Amino acid sequence: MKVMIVDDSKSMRMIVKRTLKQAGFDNMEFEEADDGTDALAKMDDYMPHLVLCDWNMPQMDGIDLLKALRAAGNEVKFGFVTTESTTEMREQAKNAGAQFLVAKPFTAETFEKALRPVIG
Amino acid sequence: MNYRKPEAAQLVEMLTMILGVDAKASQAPETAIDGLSHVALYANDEGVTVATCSCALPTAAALGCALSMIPPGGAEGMVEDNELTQVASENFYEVMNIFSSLLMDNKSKHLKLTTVETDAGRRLQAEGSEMQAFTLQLGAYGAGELVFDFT
Repeated sequence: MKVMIVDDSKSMRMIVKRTLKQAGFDNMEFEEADDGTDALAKMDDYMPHLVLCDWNMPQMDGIDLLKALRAAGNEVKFGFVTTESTTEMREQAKNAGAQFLVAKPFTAETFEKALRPVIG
Repeated sequence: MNYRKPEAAQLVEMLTMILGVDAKASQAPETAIDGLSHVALYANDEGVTVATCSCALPTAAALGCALSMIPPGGAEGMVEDNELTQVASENFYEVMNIFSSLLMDNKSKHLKLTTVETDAGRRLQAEGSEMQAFTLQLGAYGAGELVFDFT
């Protein structure tokens, strides 16, 4: 499965990859982007099956990336990995087309619980 | 008060999850903490700074190193050099980003991290602001202190 990880923190991108492995998601290959603009530029070439995206990022944040994808007809599975975890923000994410939201800080268990229903 | 007062138990859980170290935290009197050189500023949706999280260089180095498992010796070196490496700075920024959720819940107003300054002490002394200080134990990275100021 091809996964795009979008976060302006290189360390956080590494931690997401590590946690996915810890959660038992072994058959993943990764592409990384450091904000929404970078992700959008890479999207057509990489064609991920899943996007894991931070919310607050420079240039283009995660919610704007998601809206841009959906406006372009891209229905890629999309989940936020973010500090924005209030009910209001979760509702905003869902309304924009996200399948799930994992709050930072996270564990392998929270990743497994959020992703398994979406990607099997 | 517009934002949630951080609690020691919540901070411990968060530090343990972020850093993968056996962390401890307890409330501290603010007067026991000095040399607050690294300040994270959090703003509301109007861009107004409404909260800060401050610490001294050793704590910033410990947090910045622990996030990506740079050995404790690396943090000690940064203290000797009196500055964080670029990686540790970026990591510290991310830790401060994650700490924003200590200040929010479903009843509070929204805020987000806007910047981390490294040249001064506490930045927010707004009228009516509250303070919550903590002493930390960060496993092999040693002890640290944090001060939250919030309106």
